[in-house]
Amino acid sequence: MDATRGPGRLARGIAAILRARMDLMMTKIASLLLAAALLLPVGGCNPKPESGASAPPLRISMQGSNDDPALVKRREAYQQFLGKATGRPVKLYEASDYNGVIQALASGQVDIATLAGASYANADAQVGQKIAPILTVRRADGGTGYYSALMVRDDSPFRSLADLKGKRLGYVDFNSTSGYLYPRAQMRDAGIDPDTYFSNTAFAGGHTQAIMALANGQFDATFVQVSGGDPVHGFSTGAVYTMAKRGLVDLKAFRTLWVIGPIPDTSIVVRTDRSQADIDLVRGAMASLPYDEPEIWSEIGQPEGSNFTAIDRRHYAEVIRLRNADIALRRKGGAEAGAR
Amino acid sequence: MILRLMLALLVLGLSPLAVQAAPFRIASVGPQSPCREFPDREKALADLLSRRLGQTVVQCPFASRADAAKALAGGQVDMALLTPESYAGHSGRVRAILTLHLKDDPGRLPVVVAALATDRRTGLGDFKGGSAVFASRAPYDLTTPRKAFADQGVGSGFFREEGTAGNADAAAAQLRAGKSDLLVLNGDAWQRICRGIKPDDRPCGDLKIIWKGRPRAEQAWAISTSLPPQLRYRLIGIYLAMHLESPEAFRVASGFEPRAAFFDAAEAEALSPARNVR
Repeated sequence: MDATRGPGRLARGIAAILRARMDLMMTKIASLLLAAALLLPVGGCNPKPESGASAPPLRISMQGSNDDPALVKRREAYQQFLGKATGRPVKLYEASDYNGVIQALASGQVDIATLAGASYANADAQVGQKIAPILTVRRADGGTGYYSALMVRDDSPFRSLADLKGKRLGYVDFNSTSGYLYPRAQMRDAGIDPDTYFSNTAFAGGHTQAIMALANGQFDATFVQVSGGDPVHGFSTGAVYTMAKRGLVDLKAFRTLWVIGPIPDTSIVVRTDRSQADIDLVRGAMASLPYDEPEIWSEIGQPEGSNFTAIDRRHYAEVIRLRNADIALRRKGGAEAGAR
Repeated sequence: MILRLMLALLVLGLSPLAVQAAPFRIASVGPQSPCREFPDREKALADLLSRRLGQTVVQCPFASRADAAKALAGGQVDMALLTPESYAGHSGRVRAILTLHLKDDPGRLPVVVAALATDRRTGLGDFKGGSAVFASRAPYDLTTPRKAFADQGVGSGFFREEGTAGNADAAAAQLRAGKSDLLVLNGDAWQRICRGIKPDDRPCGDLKIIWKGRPRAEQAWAISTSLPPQLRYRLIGIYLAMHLESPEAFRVASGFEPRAAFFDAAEAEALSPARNVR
């Protein structure tokens, strides 16, 4: 019997067609798998950081005025050092006010920002765990805080907080920790309602502006950040010291009535939806700066005996609590005023 | 054929194992043996590092720190905990990256030693038998500088007289008044008293720095200098936050020191055993 004819041939023909279709299907599956293997984002299964000139830029935002040479230097130093360390272009997003930095980070327009406690608390209220503080500066004495100083003009008659009842007080910004949040909480602890104690309160917009407004007589008193020391040893940094050093004001033209603190210091905050490898890389690179480049660390206004230490959200627990309490009290006060 | 290709793609192309490089090798001290998985009691550290680095992490036991340092310099391991003694001789091929910060310890603060600018002496060794004034008895004003001095060979008895002034300004005043030959401050205090409050202020213009540096690390995690910088920074980033992110892994990583608080970054020469002063 001819094996190439009859039912056997038909069966072999059907089998051949099925094999061909199977091959085609397998080829398609294989092609899909190959395509998937090629297209799968590296970060999906490989925890390596993005790097190289073609990698997307690392976007950073730092609040502060370009009038402050130390801050300008700090921005440039962070940009250069991070660019070198990560192998990625680093793009700086400048913001002249607190809210600009908060919104840039909260919206994901930037990957990294430097935020003070109250600003972090604001961003935390907006996006929660999509951001995280990773580093703050620890000083030589082990402290990680700075202070708020209630300042008046030296030629004024004011000698205590009691003398300021019914006077004009300047705050820095609603999102300022030392220039708004902590002073208000401390005044309440001292039995003073900050919303009714003064004849007038206003926001200056920044620490430098607050000092200028005080010097020009627009405010009778203002709260500003002071650092680079402590109440026992004295202070050496902060807007008023920087301005004095630049010849904009005379340090002797001001008097400090009250010092509040320590207040949890500014931190480096990252978007947590970026790859963990990138976050680790940024944290490690920044922490290396005072050790690898001690001269730069000093030039950008950081205390020589300080370094970066790791933190997380718990570092700002008190700031978050105070901010929530302040907002609740203001809302309650507003509602009561409305009812009256 | 195609099925084989598919299998190969599955195994080599899409599996997470596919992107893993060679194992990351951490030296340990114990009976010498080939590299192996971390023992169960130390798994937390291996798991954390493996997850974050995307590499298998293995432990490579050596009989001593000196052997571990040699292996690190020779590229047989990627990271090792070294002492100044074991590091000696490997500078250039090995560098420190991390030190352990101890509870209630000021850490490795930079120290500044200054003299009057008019003083003809230029090196620390020139001041043997002289006097030194420290800012205060606080650990960061006294213990840290003394540790840094000892590392440089300036031990007890080097100075004829040592004193504390109460604060940095008072100490500087003693130097200026000729009551001391040297002013010894931590870097923070030096910066504070020398910053000035007016343009062109140079409050320390009458002083000169004789020596500046950090105390040597007693132990430090070290890597090969050939390791890519990005991996170095990632390791620092992981270790720095380990006490917060994985306390169990931190207990393993810092198990050699009961007073461990957290990790600090370190400069390349943190373990440098150099003693410059005779």
